Amino acid sequence: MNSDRSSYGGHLDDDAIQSLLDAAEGHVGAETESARRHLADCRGCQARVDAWREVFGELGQLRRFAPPGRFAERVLSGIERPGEALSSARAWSWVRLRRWLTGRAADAHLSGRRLQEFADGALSRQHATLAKTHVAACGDCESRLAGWQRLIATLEVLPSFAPAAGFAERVMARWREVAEETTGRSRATRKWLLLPRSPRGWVLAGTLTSMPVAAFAAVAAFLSTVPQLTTGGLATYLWWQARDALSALGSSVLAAVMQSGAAFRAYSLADYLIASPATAAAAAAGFTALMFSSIWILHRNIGFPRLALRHVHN
Amino acid sequence: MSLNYQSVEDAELVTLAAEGRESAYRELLSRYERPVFSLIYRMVRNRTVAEDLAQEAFIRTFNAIDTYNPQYKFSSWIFKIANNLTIDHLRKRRVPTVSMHGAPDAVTPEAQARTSLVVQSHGESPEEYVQNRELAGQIEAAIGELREEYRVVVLLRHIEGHTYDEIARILDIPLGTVKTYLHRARAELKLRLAEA
Repeated sequence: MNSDRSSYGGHLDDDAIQSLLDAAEGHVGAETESARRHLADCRGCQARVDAWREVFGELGQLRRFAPPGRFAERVLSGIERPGEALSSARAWSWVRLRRWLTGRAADAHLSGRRLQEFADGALSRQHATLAKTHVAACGDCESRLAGWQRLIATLEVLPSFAPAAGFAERVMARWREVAEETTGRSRATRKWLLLPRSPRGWVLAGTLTSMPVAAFAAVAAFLSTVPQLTTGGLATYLWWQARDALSALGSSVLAAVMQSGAAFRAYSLADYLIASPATAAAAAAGFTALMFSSIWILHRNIGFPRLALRHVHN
Repeated sequence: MSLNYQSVEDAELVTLAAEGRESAYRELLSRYERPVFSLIYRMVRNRTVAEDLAQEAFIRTFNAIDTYNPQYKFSSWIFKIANNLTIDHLRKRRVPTVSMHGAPDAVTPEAQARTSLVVQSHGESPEEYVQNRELAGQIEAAIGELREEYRVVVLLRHIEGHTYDEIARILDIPLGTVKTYLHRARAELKLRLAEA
């Protein structure tokens, strides 16, 4: 019934370790062997077992406190004896009391939970043997056990239901649709990224991208042969050139804007919009709507396929 | 030589499916369509919804087939996906509980009358009639009245035959909780059947 706990989650969990230590004290469970196999190879679990063993050791050393003198006699004298037409509640108290006083559990009735687990075949061998022995001698527990066995038998013969005809075909068709949708989106993403689609494409792209690298390497190799050129001097020269180019570009753009009258028109539009709160609000709303539409279009077109990534292991 | 998929074990079928063999997917579907549908149907108690959820469970499972870990049983994996989908559905559908005798803060008879619910009987369609008959037995009715957490453990244990450990894995709950849920669920069932 039980399967290998250690192989499922990797390491032994606290329940498994406690079961293992219980097994060392004689309470053998079905998982014990697999846990032992894992423990033989796992130092982390060995350390945790040692920590639990200390806890068990401490608990095992707790001492029992004796009740005061003649306590048992005083209590027993206050209740009726078995065979004296006990009420069921008093009979149960008597059994529990005897169990507590004598330390023997064999006479106590089995709990509903224990009986259910026995009927369900979920008790360890040792507990099942104890339960079987008790049930054989106790008519009350035997009849309660029969009740649980009847319930479990009723549950286990309940029919399974079939989905409507054609369910499998519908699932396969829908799955193909989803797969095509996912593949289509992946293709769209790849197209947007301008990635090559064939081995020849990859070779061509590799060649093209390696050409500037090769050219740069050739220039660097040539420059290294000229002793007058230093790295610092070359960097300073390149920085001056880049700064001049950026400055020239900025001036050209500014001049073009001013000459076209676009700056004046933009200023006039802003002046008109803020002249009345209504136009300002309408402009803000239009701009917001435009922004959300853009975000939505981006999300729909270049977002990752949702089904392929969503809650796969949930 | 063609492969007889019916004799192949689940883990191997998953490997074949991951290689793109459609017959392997079909075989997995054929093995699990009834168990998965039955579990979901008994949870949601509506055939149409159960079919939609079962279909979604299979599609999610098949889409993630590359990520299947063969250390786990395939059945545990697919039931986990199916159960999570079902629980999500039930949570979304759940409405706040309102007493039929009026709102809790309704003190006067007028307030109680104003806030009380009137249950109306709607005519059943032939389809609903058949569905309701399927789940109308005493034991099915008793299962339907259990809390969702209790219902699912009973179904996984006694109808699908999973071990306590497997149920704990499927539901992501401790083993002790599985035992407690089962104990309480069976006790409630016994009580309800005795009352019936």
